Amino acid sequence: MTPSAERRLSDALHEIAATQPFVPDADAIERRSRRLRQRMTTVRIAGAAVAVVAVVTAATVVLNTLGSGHQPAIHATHGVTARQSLAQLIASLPTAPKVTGDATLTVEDVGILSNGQEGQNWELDLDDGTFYTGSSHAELQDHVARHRKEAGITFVREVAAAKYAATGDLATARDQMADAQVKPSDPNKISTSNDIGEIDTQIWQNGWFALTARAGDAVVRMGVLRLLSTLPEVIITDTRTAGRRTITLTYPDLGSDRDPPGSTRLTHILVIDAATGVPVTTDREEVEGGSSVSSINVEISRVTVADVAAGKF
Amino acid sequence: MSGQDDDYREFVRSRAAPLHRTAYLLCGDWHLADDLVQETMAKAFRHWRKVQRADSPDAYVKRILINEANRHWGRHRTTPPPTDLPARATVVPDLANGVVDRDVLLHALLSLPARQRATIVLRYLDGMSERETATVLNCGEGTVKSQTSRALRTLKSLLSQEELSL
Repeated sequence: MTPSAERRLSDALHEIAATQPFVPDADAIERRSRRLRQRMTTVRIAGAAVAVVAVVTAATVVLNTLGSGHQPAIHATHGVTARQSLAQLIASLPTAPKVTGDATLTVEDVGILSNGQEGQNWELDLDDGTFYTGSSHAELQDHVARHRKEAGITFVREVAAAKYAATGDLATARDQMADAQVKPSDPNKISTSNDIGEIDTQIWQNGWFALTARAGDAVVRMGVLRLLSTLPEVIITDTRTAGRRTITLTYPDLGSDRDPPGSTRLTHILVIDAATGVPVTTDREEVEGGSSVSSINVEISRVTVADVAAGKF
Repeated sequence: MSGQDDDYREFVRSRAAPLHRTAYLLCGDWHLADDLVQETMAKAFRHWRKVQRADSPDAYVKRILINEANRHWGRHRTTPPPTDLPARATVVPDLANGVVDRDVLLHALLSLPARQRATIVLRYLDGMSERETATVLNCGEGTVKSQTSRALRTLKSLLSQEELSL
C-alpha cells in the first residue's frame, strides 16, 4: 500500500470514528472504579481459598521442547508428577470412554456493565459445532429451546489442527494451529514469524478455542494437549479442584523489556480434569508488579442440550 | 475535591473522547465502546498514581483499553462483531481516490485478528509510531511491522472482494 493510500486509510478511519459524540461521566466512572475494587478484593479472597485447596505436587514444570523436534519432553526443576500426569492423560485419551453430555457450557463473569449490574456471559458449544450464547441463564435456555443458534460452525480450522495434532507431526501441527485464524490464501502466516512468542501465544489461544469448542471429542483434547505441551512458557501443576484431581496449565504473559513500569500483564490459567482432559475452569488474570489486580473466571461443565432447553442446568 | 481528583477528572475530560473513537474501531459498537472506555477509565482511577508516573500516561491507558477489548474478544471469541453505523454519511474517501462504503471498511477492519486490528487502529487512527504502538501492544517493533503489513494486505484483499479496488 502506498503512502498516499495509507493517508487515505487514516482519513477514512477518522471519518468513521468521528460520528458519535461522547461525554464521559466522571462520577459514574469513579463509582465503577470503587465497585471494581470491591469485586477484585472478593476475587482475591476467593482465589486464595482455591489456592489453599490446590495441592501443587510439582512446583514448576517447564516444558522445553523447541530444540528437540517439538516432542513433548518436559524438564522439571524438581518432581515429575505433573509431567507424568499430563503424559498419562494424553496417552489414555485414544481409548478414553466418551465423556458425559453432548455439549459444553461455559459461564463467565463479564464484570460490571455500564448499567452498574454484574454481567455474565453464557455459551453453549454443542459437540457437533453448533454454538449458542446468552447474557443470562434464562436467555441461553430460550435461545437453545428456540434453536436460535449463532451463525456458522465455530473454530473449524482450530479443531482440524487439533485433530491432526493428536497423532500427526507436532511441528506441522504447531504451524497449522498457529495459522488457524489466517486465511489460507494469505501468504503472511503467523507460523513464519520470527517472534516465537507470537507463534506460541497464537497456538495457546487457538488451542484453547478448539478445546472449549469440542471438549466432548477425545481426539481434539488429545491434540490440543499435545500441542500445549510444546510451549516452553507453559507451567504445569497437579491440582485438586472441588475434590477432583485436575491439571493446571498456566500461560504467563512474559511481557517485554519495552514495557513501561507498572504495565499490566495477562496470565491465562486453564484447569482440566486429570482423568479426561475436559476443561473445568479458565482464569484470565491481570498482574501488575507481581500482584493480581483483576481476574475473569470461567466455569466450564458438560451438559446435555435437552437439559439446557428444559432449563435443567 | 483533592488536587489528585482534579487531575484525574481533567484527564478523563481530555482523553475520553479520543479513547472512545479508538474503542469504537476496535469493537464496532458504540455502546460497547462506552463500556470499554468506562472500564478503562475506572482502572486508570484505581491506578491513578501509576498512570501519572508512567512515561506516557496516554500509552498506559491505551494499553488498558486494548487489554479490555482483547478480553472482550476472548470472552466472545470469533462471534462476528456487531456494527451500529448511523444511517447518514455512508461513504468515506476510499484508499484510491474513490469512495468506500464505510460499513464495508468497518466490517473489513473488524474481520482482522484482534492484534492486527489494534495495530491498524493505533497506527492509522491514533497516529502512533511503530515504537509507540509496540509499547502499547507489548511487542517488538518488528512485530508491529509484520502485523501492519499483514493487516493492510488483508484489508486490501477484503475491499477488493467488494469490488472497491485500492
